[in-house]
Amino acid sequence: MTISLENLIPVPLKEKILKRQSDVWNNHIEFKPGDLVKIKAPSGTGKTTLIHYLYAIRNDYEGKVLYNQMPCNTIDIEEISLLRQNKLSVIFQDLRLFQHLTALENIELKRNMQKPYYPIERVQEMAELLGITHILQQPAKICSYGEQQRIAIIRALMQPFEILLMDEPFSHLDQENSKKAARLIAEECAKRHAGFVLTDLDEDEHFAYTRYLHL
Amino acid sequence: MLFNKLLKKIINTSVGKTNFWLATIGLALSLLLILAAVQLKGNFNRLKGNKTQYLVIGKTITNEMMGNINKSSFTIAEIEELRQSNFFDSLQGIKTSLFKVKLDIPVNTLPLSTDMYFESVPDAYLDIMPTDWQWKEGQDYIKGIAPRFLVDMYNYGFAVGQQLPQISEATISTIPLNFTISNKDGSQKLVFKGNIGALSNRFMSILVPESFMNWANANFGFIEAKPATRVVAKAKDPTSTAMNKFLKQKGMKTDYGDSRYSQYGFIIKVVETIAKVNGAIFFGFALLVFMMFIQLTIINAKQEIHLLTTLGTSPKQLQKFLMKKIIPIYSITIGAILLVLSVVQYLLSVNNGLRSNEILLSPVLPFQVFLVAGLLFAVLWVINLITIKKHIRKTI
Repeated sequence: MTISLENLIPVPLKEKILKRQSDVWNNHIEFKPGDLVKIKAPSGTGKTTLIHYLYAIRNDYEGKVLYNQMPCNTIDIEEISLLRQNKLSVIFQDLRLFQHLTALENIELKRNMQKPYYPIERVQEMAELLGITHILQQPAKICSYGEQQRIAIIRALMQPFEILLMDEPFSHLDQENSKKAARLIAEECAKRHAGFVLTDLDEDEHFAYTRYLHL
Repeated sequence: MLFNKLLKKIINTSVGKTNFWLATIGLALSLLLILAAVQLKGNFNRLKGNKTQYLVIGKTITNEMMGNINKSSFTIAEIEELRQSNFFDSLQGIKTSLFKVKLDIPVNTLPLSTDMYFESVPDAYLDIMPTDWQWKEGQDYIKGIAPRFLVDMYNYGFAVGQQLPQISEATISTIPLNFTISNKDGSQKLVFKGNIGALSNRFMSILVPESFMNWANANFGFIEAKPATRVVAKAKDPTSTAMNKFLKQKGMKTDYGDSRYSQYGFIIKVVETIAKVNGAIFFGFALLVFMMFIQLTIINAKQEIHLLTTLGTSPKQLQKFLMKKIIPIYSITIGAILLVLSVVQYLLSVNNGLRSNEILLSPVLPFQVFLVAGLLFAVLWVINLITIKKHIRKTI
């Protein structure tokens, strides 16, 4: 799948954005499988807003967000759901876990939402890699932010995808754990020949980015 | 499926459970009323369809008619008018014997000798046909059909009063009868042996095969052929009030034949209507509560449903999950009601009281009950699906 932006401007940030230069806002830009895109921006410039637009859960914008050349706000929710199950995955900054479900149940929900892409054993392997095996049976609400972030990462990797959207995916992780998580994400994207769009505050060397953009 | 198990943990479907079970009881009650009404009507139609469509129509005898047999007889024009009336599939005048008939019972314990008459109708109009009914010229044996009321009258009145033995229906056919038919002055006479082969609820006179009647009328008849005094008709709907009104206007009545079913017809209609109206009201209320339950469940799980769709759960998956919570309840309720009605139907079919009144019911429920049950299930299914769809779309 490809996601294209045509002169996209978020309405709440319009005035602010029109006063400055951006590689993303009010531009023509395309994200394809295989593209490893880093979007760097300071706080308050609309990183989360952009991810939400790309994932089609907000539409308070001018311009267009196109999924395979179709304006995404004209696509039926059933079709959007299929894309979210098979082509497009996401790691939200606010994680969005079901707090009363265990870590494993949160991951299993995503794994079983469509035809499972991986067997259950792969969950264990990933949990071991990221060091959260011990909390798999714990309700998400009693896990630390760092643990919750790693659950959200594994959950996003449980499905097939062509583009992975990540909104500050390592914000609650230390250097060591960030590296481990990034390595896993890179591997999973490579396996699927997928691309990603990652937004963050700072520079990093976690991935071999193919494009750097300033928001 | 694991996904559904997890959805069950996420979407709380136990909100308003009391209301839900009350609605289920309401639904069961409404289904019971509606389907029992359909069962009643279906059974009645089956009885009617089997043997109760035939009516014997006669003219109401008034004081002016007394002494003038022609006035109480049907004219050709009147029979034609009945034919054209659209109330009947077919009809036929009942033939009367135009010769003298004398009946003797050659048994000492039942001494009986009486003048009488025969009537006949085409075989298609008979409600019962004895074995060896057909008569061919040259045959000296004839079978008759007697009205059941005559046997009842003998057994419960005459036999008791005269200290004569009562006769069971099975014995009647074994009593030998001699029928002597003759012309006006008795110069031509012929004796036929015979017996009563069957008892009829439809006809009030002794019937003989039509082939015998035609032959005897041609060879022994001396009375001028009269138009029929009664007509036997296959009614399209013997319970039709329009038909009864039409006949009344023409000075005719249908107090013969299978008319008891016509009288039942009205009562059945009243009972059926009351049960259906009440059933429909209950059904409507139950449906309303189910719809509210769905709405409440979805509103209560609004945030969870929103997150589920954000993560990629499709509205169809959610609809399927919620339908699976409710549809089995409907299926079980309908199944249970059909089971109850099936048991009732079976018990009615073997009930001696009904059987002795010749109300012979099938042990199987009328197909209309299954048809209506299927239809109601489809209504429940569609309305629930629409409600779920509407509220999920509103939530996401």
